[in-house]
Amino acid sequence: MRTRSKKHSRSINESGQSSGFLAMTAIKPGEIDALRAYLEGFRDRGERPLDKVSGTHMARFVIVEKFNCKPVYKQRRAENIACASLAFSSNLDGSIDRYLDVLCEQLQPEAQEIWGRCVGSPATCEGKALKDYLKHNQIDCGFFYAAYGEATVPKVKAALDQRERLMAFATEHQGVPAAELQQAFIEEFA
Amino acid sequence: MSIAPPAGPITATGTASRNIDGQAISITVFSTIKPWGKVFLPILFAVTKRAPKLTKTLVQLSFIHFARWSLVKQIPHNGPPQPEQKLRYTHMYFESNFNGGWEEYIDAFSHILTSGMAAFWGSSFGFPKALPVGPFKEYITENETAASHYYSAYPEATITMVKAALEVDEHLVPLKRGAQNLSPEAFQDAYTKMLTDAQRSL
Repeated sequence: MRTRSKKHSRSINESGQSSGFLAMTAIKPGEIDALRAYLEGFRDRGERPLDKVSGTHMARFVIVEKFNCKPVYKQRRAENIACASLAFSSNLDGSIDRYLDVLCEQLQPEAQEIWGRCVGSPATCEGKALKDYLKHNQIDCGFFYAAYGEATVPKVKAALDQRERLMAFATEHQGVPAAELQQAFIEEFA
Repeated sequence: MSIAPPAGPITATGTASRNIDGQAISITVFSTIKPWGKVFLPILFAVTKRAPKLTKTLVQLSFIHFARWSLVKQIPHNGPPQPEQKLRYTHMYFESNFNGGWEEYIDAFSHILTSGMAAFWGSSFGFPKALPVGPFKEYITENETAASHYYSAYPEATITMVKAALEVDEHLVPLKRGAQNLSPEAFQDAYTKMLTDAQRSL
């Protein structure tokens, strides 16, 4: 399978240390409903499989079945998508290459259930074979915006937790003598 | 081809429940690009990326975590049974990860980013202009596709909370590093100053 060359620009998919990844993979005929049911079932089953893929800030799976067109749009000819596709998009830490290494290793057994229902996927949806497949189906960003592109997922989570702890600490330690305050602060934060 | 089922109940946020993970909301929109947009949009994207001032308003909106625009010129081909398809038009994929309500999001986009909206979507067939907002909301609704699964690593955090937490960290780091080397009185002064400086973010 042809994969993307290194000359392919990385920067268009980046903002700060963050990257945006999008792959569109055609879904095998007859598998659309099963794939949709499987993806929608994550919430019903209380599963968060992308928790396993470190470096994922926000991601989505979207099943695309048509390009919308109405007479009022004055589009000369409507265009139908020949094969329904699965769009997987992720806003992630670091390089896409490293992220896909993690995803293809850790998103098991879900990857098989997801991309195994797509045309041309490897027999076993993991490791390098899956990574090559996803890169082959990658669509570049035109413009990618990240509001806090320098902050990694661990950094964001730690900062959120720390802010909560600081607010509680400040409330609990009002009027505490200096030495006691210092010791408590060191125990809590340093 | 199967018919997509309804995208779940519309929630108080104005969007389908499957587009939501905690505070985070997703929007995914495909629009079809007029021929001149194939030339214009790559230039617009390049200029916008190289001129951060142009995204200043986007930053100030302060409810968008991540957003992206991509041009889909071809659907990647993977062999049979996927038919080879040469797309007649280029299509634009837009996604946003935001917090708040869908209605408020579109309102803000329309009223604050009016010229930016015209630039990014002006070459899309059927784009009715950002204002008045009613037809624009209708256009987005028509072209939006609900997520089958949406994920946020920190679902309970709004972007304001994330930004505040990162600002607090900047204020806190020097004190964490120096706390052990200060006298209690000097520490107390530094602690009070840190809280004062970080107050806006707490």
